[in-house]
Amino acid sequence: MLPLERLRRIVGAEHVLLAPEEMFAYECDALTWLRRRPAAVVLPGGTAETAEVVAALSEAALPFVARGAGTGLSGGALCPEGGVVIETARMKRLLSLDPWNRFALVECGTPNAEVSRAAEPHGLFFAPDPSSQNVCTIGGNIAENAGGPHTYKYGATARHVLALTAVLPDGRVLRTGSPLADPPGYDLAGLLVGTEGTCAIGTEATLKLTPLPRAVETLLFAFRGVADACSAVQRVISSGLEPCTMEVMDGATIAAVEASVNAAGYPRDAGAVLILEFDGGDAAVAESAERAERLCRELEVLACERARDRAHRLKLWKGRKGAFGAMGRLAPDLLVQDAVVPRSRLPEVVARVLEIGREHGIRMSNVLHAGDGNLHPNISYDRRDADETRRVLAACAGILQACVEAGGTLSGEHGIGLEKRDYMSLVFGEEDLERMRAVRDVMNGRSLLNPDKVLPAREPKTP
Amino acid sequence: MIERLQRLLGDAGAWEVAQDGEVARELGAARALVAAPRDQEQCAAVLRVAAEARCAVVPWGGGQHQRLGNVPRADLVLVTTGMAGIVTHDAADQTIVAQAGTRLADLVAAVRARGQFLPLDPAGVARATIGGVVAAGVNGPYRSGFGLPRDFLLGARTAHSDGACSRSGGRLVKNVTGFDLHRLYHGSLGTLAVLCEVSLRLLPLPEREATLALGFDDLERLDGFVAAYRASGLAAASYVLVHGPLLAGNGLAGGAADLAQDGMFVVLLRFHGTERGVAESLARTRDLLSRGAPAAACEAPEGAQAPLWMACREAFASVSPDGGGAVLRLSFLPHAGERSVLGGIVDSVAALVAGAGSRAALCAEPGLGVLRILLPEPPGEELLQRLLTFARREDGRLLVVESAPASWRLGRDVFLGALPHESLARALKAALDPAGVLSPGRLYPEEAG
Ligand SMILES: Cc1cc2nc3c(=O)[nH]c(=O)nc-3n(C[C@H](O)[C@H](O)[C@H](O)COP(=O)(O)OP(=O)(O)OC[C@H]3O[C@@H](n4cnc5c(N)ncnc54)[C@H](O)[C@@H]3O)c2cc1C
Repeated sequence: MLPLERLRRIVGAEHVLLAPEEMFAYECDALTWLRRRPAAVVLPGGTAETAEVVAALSEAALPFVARGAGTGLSGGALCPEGGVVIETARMKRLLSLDPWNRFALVECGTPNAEVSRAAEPHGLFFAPDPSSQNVCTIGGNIAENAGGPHTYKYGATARHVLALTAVLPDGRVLRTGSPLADPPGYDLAGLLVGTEGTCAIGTEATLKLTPLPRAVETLLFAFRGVADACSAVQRVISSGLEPCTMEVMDGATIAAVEASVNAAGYPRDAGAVLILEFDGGDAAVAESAERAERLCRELEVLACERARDRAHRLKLWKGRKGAFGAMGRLAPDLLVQDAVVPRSRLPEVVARVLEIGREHGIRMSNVLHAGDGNLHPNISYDRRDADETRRVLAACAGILQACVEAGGTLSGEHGIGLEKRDYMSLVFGEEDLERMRAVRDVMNGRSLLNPDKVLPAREPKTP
Repeated sequence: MIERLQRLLGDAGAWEVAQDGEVARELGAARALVAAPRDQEQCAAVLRVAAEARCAVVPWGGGQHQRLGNVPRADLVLVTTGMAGIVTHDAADQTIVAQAGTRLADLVAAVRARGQFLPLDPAGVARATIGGVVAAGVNGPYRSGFGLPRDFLLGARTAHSDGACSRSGGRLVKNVTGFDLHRLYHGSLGTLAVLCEVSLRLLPLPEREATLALGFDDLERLDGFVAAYRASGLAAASYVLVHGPLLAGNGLAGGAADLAQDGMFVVLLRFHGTERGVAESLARTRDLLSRGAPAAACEAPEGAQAPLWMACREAFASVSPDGGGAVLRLSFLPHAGERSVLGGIVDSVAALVAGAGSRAALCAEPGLGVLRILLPEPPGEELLQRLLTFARREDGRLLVVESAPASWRLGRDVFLGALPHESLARALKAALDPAGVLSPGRLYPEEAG
């Protein structure tokens, strides 16, 4: 039974949502084909309220899930049937920012981009930059160990979380980590990052801030196809250069972008474009950009542009930043797939992925964080069309299988959630999963928090 | 017990420790067995046998960081150097997979030979193993520029006390598939599982490397420089402060020899990058000197860089040459507003040490807010209390004993009460080390019964 009165007392009646029409928005995250309707949504106003809400639900033995902005792409924020969504939307205060010691303490419902916005006047930024950064929350980033175009140089979220306050599924508050170097004991904050909201609910995070680079050089190259763009990436890296970003878009993405309001002037006849960026000191960056340009021009380059100034740089990025939006307009639904392979295998894997797309007759466009070997095959479809949806899911299965066979894995940044839980055995054995379950059960022993995500259920014991 | 182990590992795979040997000294254990499995399966089998016999097992790589943490109960030392060698080095993908017992020095050299770079240079690098360095969660002067092993760790294979083998992560530079248990094993000091294999991310070998040494005989000027450096946003590959005498005889010839004097604090900055990039960083650093003018400044000549950094790395050390010394580590927030607090802390600590009739060499990582107090012998109770009082006087400071002889650590808590989350930590240990035999007491005291 929903402890309605108690929840209302904790957060205020206006912050407990129950009306069926209000539940609609919480039926899914950005992976729209998976849907479940929660019984209620509760919006606590801070750590203490979250702890009380969790304690109330735990006592009532009701399952619950944390939800940030709901931009997740693996069904992670889907609520258990009949359970309660704890939404962090009211927890978006920037509690403190110490520019000299380079950290910020924020509530976990804070949108990612807000952190960099607050840090910018101090010459700092928060390095993880998922494409959804204007809306996705720090709590969601921590849960998913989110990455972005700049992850190649700066690392994913795990490298940027210094301390975390989290509510355990029984309502206890855990404060772990420190802005001080090397606190003793187990790295619980590090452990919690990437557990996809199955171990604890993050409420406050101390985030590392990074100095903004003095100089940035952005180059755009157009190639005949994705394989060439990936070869260019490999050449640049093998030469010892250290770009901060290596983003590749395929021909279908270019076409979608150029037909949208975010048209960036990418050559329409190109089979792929590569955005290469260097950041750092003025001389270092200029030198690297010159060398990279020379290296890439040794390949068959259809066009090359080097940003002259900030405005020009933003223009080169405009298409990439608007890519998901542009693809989203092609059909009612967009499935953003995510997988990783060793970088050197990208050319063959992308070819295979495109082939799988054709085999299943689906509409696909690809965006790659090529430096990280991270692919995003994006599939435009209509989930109300059962046959099309079936083909889309079959193609996804084929893509994941192909990536794993190439030495890759199921997800580079979007997580396993519900979508890929049953693929976990492609990558991990039962003993591997058993350790992960054991750790989850230490925190979430009754499986009330976000049950049935990430880790498949234990295989029934054969007597 | 030894027979069972020898049946598993062969006669040469298990033996009794020498009374006067390293194991006895580092673990304060007069009697123990040693087992040397050659792969993950054997390692798990050893653990299962030990668990059945309720034998406490201490994983042992190169023995270079056994002084971290409290003294664990040790019936069996599990030496990992039988699990050595590079499994795969994918140069094109900039990743390497190595068995845990591989010497870090061998790994660094192998990677370097193919134009790549693994920025790990903890004390004892010549003998330390990669598994040990990951389990200890330590790095040397590269810590300030590149972080800890955790920041390069992509995955691990481990053996557990129920005899199971498991794996987390993989060898992909970006991966969010499953829980990253390797991040939990990092720095866990061998209390959760035995690391058998690790995969790491590599960087390209920098084209050029330069080292600038700045000698300060005035702590206010030192703070002036530290603040100016922070404001500049410059990113050095290494940034450390060492007491001059620690550098004596390490290639600081000519005028630079002045730097090695007593009373001199030397900031060492190492820059990596392209030719022009390094020149630019050096020039920008020199521009800062007007705000924090050193008494002496020089760029280390080509041949002097390596010995200088080696001296510096060993100075950080939890390893002291005669084995009798101790290292205390004070962590602090390096800035109060724009002001650097380092000079003030150095001054106070030096006075406390002198006041207790001891001497100490100091070294620090100014950017991270870490001061190491290197004592020729373990601290007396009075000095320890005074330092602890100093550390606790303000929020945002933390003091631990990083290294000391086993004889001194026995029966103490080297974390000085700073270990948090005891019940959760114990539950995690029980989940991953179900038999409770891995380095018992290394972190939290063993529970009676
Ligand atoms: C257009 C688009 C582009 C994207 N680009 C990227 C990208 O470049 N890189 C990338 O990594 N991801 C990307 N994503 C995916 C998504 O934005 C990230 O996974 C993001 O981190 C999710 O944040 P959120 O606040 O929306 O979380 P939600 O979707 O609300 O939740 C995601 C998961 O986190 C858990 N969670 C949320 N808040 C908390 C909390 N406070 N404590 C504990 N668990 C919590 C939920 O239970 C759920 O399991 C993109 C998504 C879209 C729609």
